[in-house]
Amino acid sequence: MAKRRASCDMLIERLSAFLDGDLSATECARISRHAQTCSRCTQLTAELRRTVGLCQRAASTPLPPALRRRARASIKRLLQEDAKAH
Amino acid sequence: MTKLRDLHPSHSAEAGAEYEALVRAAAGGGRAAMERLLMRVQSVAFRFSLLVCGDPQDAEDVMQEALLKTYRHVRKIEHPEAFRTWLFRTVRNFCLMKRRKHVGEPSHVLSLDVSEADADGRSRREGDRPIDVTDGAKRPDEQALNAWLGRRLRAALASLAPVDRMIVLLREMEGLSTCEVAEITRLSEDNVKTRLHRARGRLRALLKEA
Ligand SMILES: [Zn+2]
Repeated sequence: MAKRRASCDMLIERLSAFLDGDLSATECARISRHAQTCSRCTQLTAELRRTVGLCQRAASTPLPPALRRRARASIKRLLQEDAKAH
Repeated sequence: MTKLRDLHPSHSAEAGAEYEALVRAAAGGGRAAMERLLMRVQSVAFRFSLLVCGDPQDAEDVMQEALLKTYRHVRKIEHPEAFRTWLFRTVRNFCLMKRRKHVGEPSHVLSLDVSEADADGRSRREGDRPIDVTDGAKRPDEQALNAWLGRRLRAALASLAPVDRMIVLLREMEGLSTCEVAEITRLSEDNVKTRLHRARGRLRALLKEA
């Protein structure tokens, strides 16, 4: 039981580095092995996966329509003004 | 577990190269490329400013400022490969200036329109607003913003320290490398990693039922 706790802590501590590919192959293997046998850490990683997915979706969603229209109008005006000036 | 990593691709190099190609095409006189670049810049500037600084009207101002600055910058650009870092540093600085300006403002500026007041009661002078070319400056509406980014995600990010919000945004949302994030935030790479790790844990805890 004590051993289980220690490996959970190891996983939690390294999860970010693991995600970012900063760990050695040995450490990666240790984390994967642990996650396969520990339901708590499996859930934790699933939640983290969802969080990351949420952030990524937010980043790839285009601006709300009204804002997009204003952004497009600003570009048009800028390019027109500049064409007139030259 | 390997799947976890697949879901968090560090698009950094790829996205950086995409920006670089677009910047080169725009700098070379391609109008369509310039329009695409400027649209992307405005979108990035608005999202960054809204999520890091929290004020939709400020975010729209920052979006305008980023548009003008980028247009001037790109036409005489010498290092297109450094464009993305330049962009986020520029947007970050615009956000900081906005915040300073608010701090310097008298605490109660009368507003003619109640809807012009911020949620915390702070109001804004009309003269501060950028001139809008379309249908009169409209404050971006909260409902549309929540539908766009998700109310829970906005609230969860708002509970982080501003610098951590910036790190999450640059790293998770925009896909910049740790090294690039360190350069923009002026923190060490180790510090960025530690803060990101903590911020991810906090966001996970706040969003786990989402
Ligand atoms: Zn565990």
